Amino acid sequence: MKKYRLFRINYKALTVRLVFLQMKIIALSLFLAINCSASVFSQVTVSVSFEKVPLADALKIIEQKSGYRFIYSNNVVPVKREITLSAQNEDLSALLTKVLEGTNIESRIMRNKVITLSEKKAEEVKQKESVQNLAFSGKVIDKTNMPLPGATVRLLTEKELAAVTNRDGEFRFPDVPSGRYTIKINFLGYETYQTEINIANSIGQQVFVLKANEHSLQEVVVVGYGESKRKDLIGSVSRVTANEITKQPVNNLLSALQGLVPGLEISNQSGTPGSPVSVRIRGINSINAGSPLVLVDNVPADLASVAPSDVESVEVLKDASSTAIYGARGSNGVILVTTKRGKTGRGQVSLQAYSSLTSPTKLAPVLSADEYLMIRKEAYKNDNITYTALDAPDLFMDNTINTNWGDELYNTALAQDYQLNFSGGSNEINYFFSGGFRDENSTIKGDWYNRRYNLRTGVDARLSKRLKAGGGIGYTYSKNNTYSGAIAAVIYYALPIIPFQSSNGMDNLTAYSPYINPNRQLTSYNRSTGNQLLGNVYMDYNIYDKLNFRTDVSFNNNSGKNSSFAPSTSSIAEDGSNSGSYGYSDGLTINIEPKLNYEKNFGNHNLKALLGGTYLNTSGSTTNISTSTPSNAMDELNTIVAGTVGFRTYSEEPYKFASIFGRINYKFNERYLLEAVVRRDGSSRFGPENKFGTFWSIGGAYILTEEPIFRSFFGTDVFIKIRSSYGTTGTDGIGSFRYIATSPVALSPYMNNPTIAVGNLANPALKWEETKKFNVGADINLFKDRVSIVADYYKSQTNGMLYSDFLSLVTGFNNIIRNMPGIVDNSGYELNLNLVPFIDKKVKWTTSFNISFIKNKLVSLPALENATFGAKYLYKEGSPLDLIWGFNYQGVDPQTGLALFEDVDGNGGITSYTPDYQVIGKRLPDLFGGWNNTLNYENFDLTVNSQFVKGVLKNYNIYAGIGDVYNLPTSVLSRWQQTGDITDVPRAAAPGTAAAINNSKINQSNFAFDDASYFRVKNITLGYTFSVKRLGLSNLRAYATGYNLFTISKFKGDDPEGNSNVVPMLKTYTMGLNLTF
Amino acid sequence: MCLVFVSCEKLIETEPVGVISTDKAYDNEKNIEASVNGIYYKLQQTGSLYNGNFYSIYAALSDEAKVLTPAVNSIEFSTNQISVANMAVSNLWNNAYDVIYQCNSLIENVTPKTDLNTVKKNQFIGEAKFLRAYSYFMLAQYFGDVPLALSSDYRANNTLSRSPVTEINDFITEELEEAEVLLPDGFNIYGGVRTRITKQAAQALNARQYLYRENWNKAIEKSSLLIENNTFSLPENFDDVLKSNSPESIFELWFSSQSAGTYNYTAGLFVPNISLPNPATPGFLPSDKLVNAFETNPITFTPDKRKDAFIRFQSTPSPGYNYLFKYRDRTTNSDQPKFFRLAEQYLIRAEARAQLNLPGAADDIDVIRLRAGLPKTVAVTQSQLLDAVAQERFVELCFEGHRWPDLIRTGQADVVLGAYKPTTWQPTDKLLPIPATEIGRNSNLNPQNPGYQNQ
Repeated sequence: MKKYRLFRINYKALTVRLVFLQMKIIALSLFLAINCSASVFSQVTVSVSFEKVPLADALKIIEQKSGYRFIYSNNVVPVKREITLSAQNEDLSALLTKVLEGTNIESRIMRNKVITLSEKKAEEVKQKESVQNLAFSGKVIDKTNMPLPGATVRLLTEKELAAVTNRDGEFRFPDVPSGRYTIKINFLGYETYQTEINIANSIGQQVFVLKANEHSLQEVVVVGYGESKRKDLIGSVSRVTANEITKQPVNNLLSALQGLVPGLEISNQSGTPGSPVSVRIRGINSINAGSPLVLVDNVPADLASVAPSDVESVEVLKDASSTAIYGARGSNGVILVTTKRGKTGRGQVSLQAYSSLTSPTKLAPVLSADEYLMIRKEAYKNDNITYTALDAPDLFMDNTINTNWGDELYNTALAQDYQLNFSGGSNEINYFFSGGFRDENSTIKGDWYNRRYNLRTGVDARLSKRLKAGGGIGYTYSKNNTYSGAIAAVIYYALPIIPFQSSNGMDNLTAYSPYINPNRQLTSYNRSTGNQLLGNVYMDYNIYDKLNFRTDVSFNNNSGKNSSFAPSTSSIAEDGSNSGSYGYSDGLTINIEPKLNYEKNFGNHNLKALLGGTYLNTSGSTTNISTSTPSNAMDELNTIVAGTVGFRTYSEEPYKFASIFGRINYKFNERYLLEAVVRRDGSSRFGPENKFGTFWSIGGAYILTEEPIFRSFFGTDVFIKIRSSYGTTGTDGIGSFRYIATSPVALSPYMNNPTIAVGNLANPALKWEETKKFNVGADINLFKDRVSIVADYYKSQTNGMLYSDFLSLVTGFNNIIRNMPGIVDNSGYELNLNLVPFIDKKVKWTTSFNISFIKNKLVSLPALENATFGAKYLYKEGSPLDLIWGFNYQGVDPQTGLALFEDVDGNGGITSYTPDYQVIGKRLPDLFGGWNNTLNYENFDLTVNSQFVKGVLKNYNIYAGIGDVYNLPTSVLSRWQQTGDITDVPRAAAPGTAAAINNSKINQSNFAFDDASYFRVKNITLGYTFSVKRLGLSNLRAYATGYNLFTISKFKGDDPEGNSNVVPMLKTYTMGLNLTF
Repeated sequence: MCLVFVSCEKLIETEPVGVISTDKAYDNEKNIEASVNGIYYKLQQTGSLYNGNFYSIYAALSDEAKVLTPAVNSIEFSTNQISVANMAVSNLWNNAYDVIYQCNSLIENVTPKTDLNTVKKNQFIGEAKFLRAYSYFMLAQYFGDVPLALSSDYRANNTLSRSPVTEINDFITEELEEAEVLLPDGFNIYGGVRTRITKQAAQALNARQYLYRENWNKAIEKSSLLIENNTFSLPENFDDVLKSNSPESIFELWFSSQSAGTYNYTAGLFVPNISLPNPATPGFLPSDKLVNAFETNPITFTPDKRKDAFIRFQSTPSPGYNYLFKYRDRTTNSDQPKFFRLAEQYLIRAEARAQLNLPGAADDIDVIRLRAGLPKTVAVTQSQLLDAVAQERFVELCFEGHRWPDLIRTGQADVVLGAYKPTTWQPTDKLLPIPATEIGRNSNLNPQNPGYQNQ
C-alpha cells in the first residue's frame, strides 16, 4: 500500500515537471511577442530660453539645437505668436508641448527626424499610419513606497489601453501614441487613481502613489444583477475574495468560507473526501429548512464542482435589501460566486500546486480488549447470570487479541491539487483559461478517493464602442470511491477482541456474526462519477450613454452515475448475498436574464434603475435500480446482469421559473441613499391559484460623515454609514408537484396488473413561505481605514410555512400540505471588525474578527397539536428549530447502579414519543465566528485563521448499553460498580435483562450528548515570496499550511464539528507553490 | 401587463413524469382499470379491515380465539378493554376511509365520462360502489354511527358528523342494489378468477346485509340467487373449499406470493411455522370453546370433518396446542381469504326461513351438516332451528369474521360473552371506540361511543 503511494507521488511529480516545461514555452513566446512590438527611441534634450520670441523663430532655434526639422503650414500654425519660456535639458516633445501650449496645434515626432505641426483634430485622421508611438512606463507604489504588484493601469482613449503592474509595481505600455491621456489605476484595497497625463517623447518613468483604502469603501461588491461600491451599499453583503479562498487547502469552496463571513454558518459534515458541507445564512427561517440560493455566474450550480482557485469572489447576500431581488428564492440568503475572467494587460500564466498530508483531527478513545472483557463479565455478574458460549460467544474468543480498530484503519492520506491558469487581455479581448486536478485520499485505510478534474474558459470582447459580449464554459468531472457511510461507527464499536490481521499477515476477513468485522465492511463501496458543465454567454449593448441593455444566458448540465456494491464478504455473516444499486441522473438548467440599466446624474442627484427578467427551466431525470445475487456470484457485474431486481425507480422533476424584477437606487448629495426592489416570480412548484408572488424591499442609508459639518471636523479619515432595510422574500425549494394530487404508479400489482391510487390531496393554493426581513446596520471606518467595523442586527419572521394540516382520516388522508399558520422568528447580531494594528515599510499586520449571534424560535405552529406522534416530537413552540429530543437523564441510583430518567407522564415507564421525550438540546449554535490574521514582513507572509462555534450539542457515540456486545468510549470506565458508588455512568448490565433495557436508554438521553462548542485554529500558513525576476518569473511563492491543527473543545467524542458517527474532520499539513510568469 | 402574465403562466407550466397526476388517473380505460386495481391493493394493506387482520380482531373480540400475542392492541381486544389510542383500531378506521376515498374519487371522475365502453364503465363504478358499501358495512359493525363521506371533498369530510347507523344501512342497501345492476355477471370477464367483484358478490353482501337488517324475505331472495346459480357449488373435500378459486368462492382477495410486496400474512397469524424445529406459538389460537363446539357423528363416531380440516394440533412446546388451520399457506397464498362463500348463503337462507317459519330451513342447514359428515339436524321449532344455524355458523364460518357480528345482531353478545369473559365484558363493549386522534382533529365526531367517554 505505502509503496504504491510513493510511486504515485513520483508519477505526479513527473507530470508537474512536464507542465513546467510547457509553461516555460508559453512564457517564452509571450516575451518574444512583447519585445518585437517594443520600439526604442533615442532621447533628445534641448535647452532654450525665449523672451517674447515669435513662434516661427522659436521653431528655427529648436531645429538648430535638436537636429530635427519642422514641417508646417504658415496658414495653420500661428507663426507670429510670441513665446516666452526657458528650459534646461528639456525633453524635445515636452518642450514642444510647452511651446505650442495655448494653440490648437500639436506636434508629431516622426522617425526620420522630422516634426510635423498640424491642427489637432484634422491631424488625427491623416496621421493614422505615421503616428508617433512611444513607450510609456511607470511605477505604482503606496504611501510607504511599497510597490503595488498586480494593479491595473488604464489609458483612457477611444481604444482603452491597459497594463498590469509587475512584482516591483512597474508597468509599461510599449507602443502608445503620444498625446494627452486620462490614466486610471485600480488596485484592490486602494482608491482608484485618476489623473491627466501628457505622454510625450521620453517623459521617463512616472511614479504614481495610490492611497490605501483598507477594506476599502471603494471596493466594488457584486450584488444581485449588478455591482455596487461598498460605500453605497444599503444591504447586508459580505465579500470574500480569491486571495482568502485560495489560502485554504480544501476541496469545497464552502469549506474555504468557514469562519470568514459573519452570519454564514459553514459546517463540514465529515472528513470523508468529497463529503457535503452544510451551509446556513442567518440561521433557519422555516421548519422546511431550505438552503441558500447558490448561483455560479448567474446559474444555480453545485459548489462541490467548482474549483476554489477559479473563483474571483464570493458574495453572501443576507438582508431583504440584497435578497428581495431574488424574490421567491431569497429567504435563505443568496451566495453569488463569480469566477475569474481575464484582465486587460500582459498575459499571465500561473500555477498553483500543493500537496497535503491528512489525518483525523481526533479519534474518540475506546476500551481496550481487557477493559471490554472486564465490563462484559461484570455485566453478567451484576445480573447474577452465568454466561455460556451460546449467549456470550465473545467471552469465549481468543482473549490475547487487542485490536484498536481506530489505529488500524485510520491512516495518513495524501491530497494533491494542481491548478494552472492562463489569462490576459488586450483592448478588444480578455481571456482566461484554467485547468486543474485534485486528488484527495481518505484517512480510512484503502484506496478511497475523491478526484476532480476541472477546466474553465472565459472570454470577454469589446466588439465596438457600444457592444460587448463574452462567455465562458466550466467543466468539472469528479470521480469518487468511498466506503459505506457507516464505517466510522463500525470502527468505533467493533470489538477489540476481533483480530485485525489473520495469521498469514493479511487483513482478517473472517466473519464473527453477529459481531461486525470492520475489515469485511470495507469490502463494500460506493462509486460515483459526476459531470458538471456550466456555460454562459452575454451581450452588453449601450443603447445610449445612460441606458444599457444586457442579456445573460447560462446553462448547467449536470449528470452523474453511481454504483454501490456490497459483496457477500461485506455482510456480518459468512453467507450473505451480494447486493448493489445503480443509478444515473441527468439534468439541464437554462437560465435567461435580460436586463435594462439606466443611470443618470443631475446636480447632486444620482439615479440608477434596473429592469430585468428571469426565465429558468430545469429538467432532469433519475433512474435507480437495485439488485442482489446469492453469494456464489461474486462480482459487481454479475450482480447487475444476473441479479434479482429489488426496486427500479425513474423520476423526472421539471422546474420552471419566470419573473420580472426592478430596482431603483437614488443617491442625494453623496450621503442619502435609497433603494427599492420589486420582484414578481412565477414558479411551477406552486398551485395554480398562487403561481405568482410579489416580493419587495425598501432600504435606506445615511452617510453621516459626508455631512459638511462632520467633514470639516473629521476630514476624510472617518466614515460612518447607517443603513437599514425591510422587505419580503420567499422560498420555493420544496420540490415539484406538491400542489397536485398524484397517483403513484410503483404500488404493488393486483392480480399481476398495475395499480394506481391517489397518493395525496391536491392543494391548488400552495404557495411560497414568506419571510419578512428587517436589518439595521452600520459601517464605520476610522483612522484612515485602519479600523473598519461592520455591525448588523437583523430580525426575520417567516409565516405560512408549508406544513401538514393534519386531517381527520375520514378524508382518506392524514394530512394536506398547506401554508399553515405558524411563525418562526430569527434574529441576531453580527459584527465584523477589521484592523491594521501595525503597518510600516516592512511589516504589516491585519487582523479581522467576526462574530454572529443567532436566536431562533418557533413562535407558534398550531398544527403540532394534532400531529402524528413522530411529527410531534420534532418541534416545540417557544424553542429553536433543529432540536434534539430524548430522555432527561437524572444520573445513577447509588443503590442499584441503574440509570434514572425523568418520568414526565408519571406512568412508571420511560417511553420515546411520549411526554417522557423532551427537548435535550439543539444543533443550531448560539454564536459562531472567526478571527483571522495576516502578517507581512518583507517577503514573508503569515496567516493565522481561527474559527469558533458555541452552543451546539452532539452525540458522542454510545451505541449500546454498557455490558452489551459493542465497544464503548473509555469514559464508561467510571461506571457504577458497587452499592454506594456515586457516579454518572450506570452499571454494566447483561443484554436482554430489564436492567440492560433500562440502562441502554442512555443512548436516547442527554447522557449521550455533549457540548460540541469549539475554538479551532483553522489555518496557519507561512509563505515566502522569492525574488525571481532573473528567472523570468513575475512571482514565486512557497508556503506551508497547517489546517485544523489545534482545537479547544470539551467534547467527549471525536471531532466536535460535523455529524455524529462519521469520519472525523481532517488535520492537514500542506506544502505548496504559487508561480506566476 | 395582463398579456405578459398569461404568457408567463404558459412559461412555467410543467407536466409531471413518473407519477400520474390524479386528473390523469381516470383519463382512459387503462388508467381507470389501474385505479380500480389500486382500490383492491388498498384492501390488502396490513392492518386493514379487509384481510386476515380483521379475522383475528373479530376472533379476539368474541369467543373464537385464545390470544397469546403480547401485543397490547390484541390483548385489549381479547379483554374488550380497548383504549381510545388503540393503534389497531385506528388502522381499521384509517384503512376503511382510505378505501372509501379512492372509491369516491373514482365514482366522481368516471361517472361523467362519455367516451368509455358502457359495460366497462358500469363495471368500474359497480366495483367502486360495492367496495364503498362494503367498507361502510364493516365500519358500522365496528363503530356504530360513523361519518358518511360520499365525496372526495376533504374540506367537507374533515368536519363531518356521524350519521346514525340506520342511515348508513339504508345507504348500503341502496348502493348494493345499484351495484348488482352495474356489475358483470360471473367471472368470465375476469378470466374465471374470483378475485374481483361481480354481480354475485353484490348479491352475497346484499343477502348478508338484509339478514343483518332482518329483512328476511330479501335475504332469502338474494341468497337463493346464489344457491341456484350453478357457478357455485359446495366441494366435498374441505381442502377444495379453502384453496384459491374454490367453486364455493364468491369473492376472495388476491395476494401475491411471499417474495412480492403484497404477501398475505393471514396464515402467519394462526399457523406455526412447522418447517422449523421449534416453531413459535402463533399469536391467535382457536378457543377451547370453539374446538369443543365441533360435534362428533353419534352414529359413526367420526368427528366433524371440518374439525379435521380447520383445527390442527402442535405437540411442541409441551403440552402442545390446537391451532387454526383454515389459512394454511405461509408462502404462496394458494388459499386466499374469502369474503363470501356459498356455505354462508345456505346458512343465511336457513336463518331467514326459520325467522319466517318457512319450510326449507332445516334442509339448508342439512346441506352444510351432511358435507361435514354429520347427520341431519334434529331442530324443528323456530328457536331450535335458529340455534342450529348459530351453531353451524360458529363452526363452519369460524375465523371468517362472522362470530362477533352474529353475537351482536342476534342479541346474544351479553349472554354469551358475559359468560365467556365474566370479569371484563361490559354491555358497552359491542362497539369499538372512535380513535381519539380522530376526535382531536374533528370534534364533530363527538360524542365518543358509550363506555369510552372517560378515557
